[in-house]
Amino acid sequence: MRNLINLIVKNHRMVVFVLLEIIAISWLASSHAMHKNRMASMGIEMSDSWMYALGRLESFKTLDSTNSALNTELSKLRSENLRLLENAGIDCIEEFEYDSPYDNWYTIPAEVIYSTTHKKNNLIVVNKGLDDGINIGAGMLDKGFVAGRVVEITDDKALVFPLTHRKPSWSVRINSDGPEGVLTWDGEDLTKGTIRDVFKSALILPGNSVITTGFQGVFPPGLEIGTVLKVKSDDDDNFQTISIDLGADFYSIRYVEFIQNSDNLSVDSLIKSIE
Amino acid sequence: MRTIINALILLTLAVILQIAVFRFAIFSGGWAIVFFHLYGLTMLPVGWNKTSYLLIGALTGICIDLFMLAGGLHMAAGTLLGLALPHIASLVAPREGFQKGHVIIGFKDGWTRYIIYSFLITFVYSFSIFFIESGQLGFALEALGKAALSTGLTLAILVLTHGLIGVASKTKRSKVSAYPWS
Repeated sequence: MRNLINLIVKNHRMVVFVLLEIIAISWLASSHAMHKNRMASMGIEMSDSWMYALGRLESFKTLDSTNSALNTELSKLRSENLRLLENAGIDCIEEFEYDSPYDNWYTIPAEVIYSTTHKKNNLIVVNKGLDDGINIGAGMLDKGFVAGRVVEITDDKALVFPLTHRKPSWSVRINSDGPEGVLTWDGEDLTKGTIRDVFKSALILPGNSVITTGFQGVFPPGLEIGTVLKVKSDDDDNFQTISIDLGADFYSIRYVEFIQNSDNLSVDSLIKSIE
Repeated sequence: MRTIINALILLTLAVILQIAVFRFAIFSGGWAIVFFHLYGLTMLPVGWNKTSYLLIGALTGICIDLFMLAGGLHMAAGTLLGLALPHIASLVAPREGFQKGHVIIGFKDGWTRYIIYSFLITFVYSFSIFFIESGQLGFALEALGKAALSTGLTLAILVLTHGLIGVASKTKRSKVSAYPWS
């Protein structure tokens, strides 16, 4: 209090100036309608801005829990969407039993707790594991785009090889009825991937969508991976190299979903029976 | 003390003249207005307590507002001028500065100094008046134009008045000399 009084005494000239100006402006506002309206609108604007700022602050406080809730809801919606796609197939083709590619697929939300972006072989660790129903081989999605697959797992954490790891290769298709190819990462740009083993005869254009084939069992067919950026034909062989823009954003990846098939075990046992 | 009383009397006279006569000096649809009471403010001695300029500026504005029904416009501008006045005086002061209680007069301090001093005072006041009157930043350029015109007109009248008063006081001076042979 004493400091405040000292401050006022020290700056008494400014205090007097402000007081006199306030009196003058109040007088002006009371005697001129234009100034009165101007001050009223200024007051409303200031109050609006203040309330808006407060509101934003409040929403920031709950942002984390809101994100988490949205992620869970998104995951449920995706599962629902997969189920509906299955039903849609049955409804349309009633004559014979239709095996939907989305049958038995379900998703689990998770949050990334560790990720690298500067290495040749990047890694991601998430906060969900066996206890949450995630298994080795489950696919990971970032905002609906394919982002990686689980390679190691503990009770409460999972290690994921993202698309930006050079070791795994991914079976992909260009457009829904286009040619297949193998997607790899060259270890340079986190936003780009390269598709090889696509025949020169296939017409690929920049902007074509790149989707999963579903052959690896990690993802159902038709999930988006990215879009074609550049097509380059090799003179030496009969294939073309396609550079693509990855849909998943590995720089800001945080809330992800794991997608897996409850029927994978029976597929695995079927494959093992002939090996 | 005599200087203070003289300055306040001159200020009162200037305010009365503004209210009675120069209130009608509005030209070009309000773009050029004479603020004659500023003459009283230019003739205030320098070196007083800075707060006193603030109060004098505000009081002058209140008087003008009350009689010309300007509703606080002159008070706001006068207060701002009161805040700026000591700084303007120090801007035009010679290297050794003014003595406390010195009044800036064209005949003594040089006309250039007096004109610059009056110009700054008039411009600050005019711009404040027109800017506050417009009530928004968008009209700042218009306010600047009006302030420039009003400053020119007011400055001409102030310099003329100052010159006439100075000449009159010189002729009134006693002809009794300490050196009668000169």
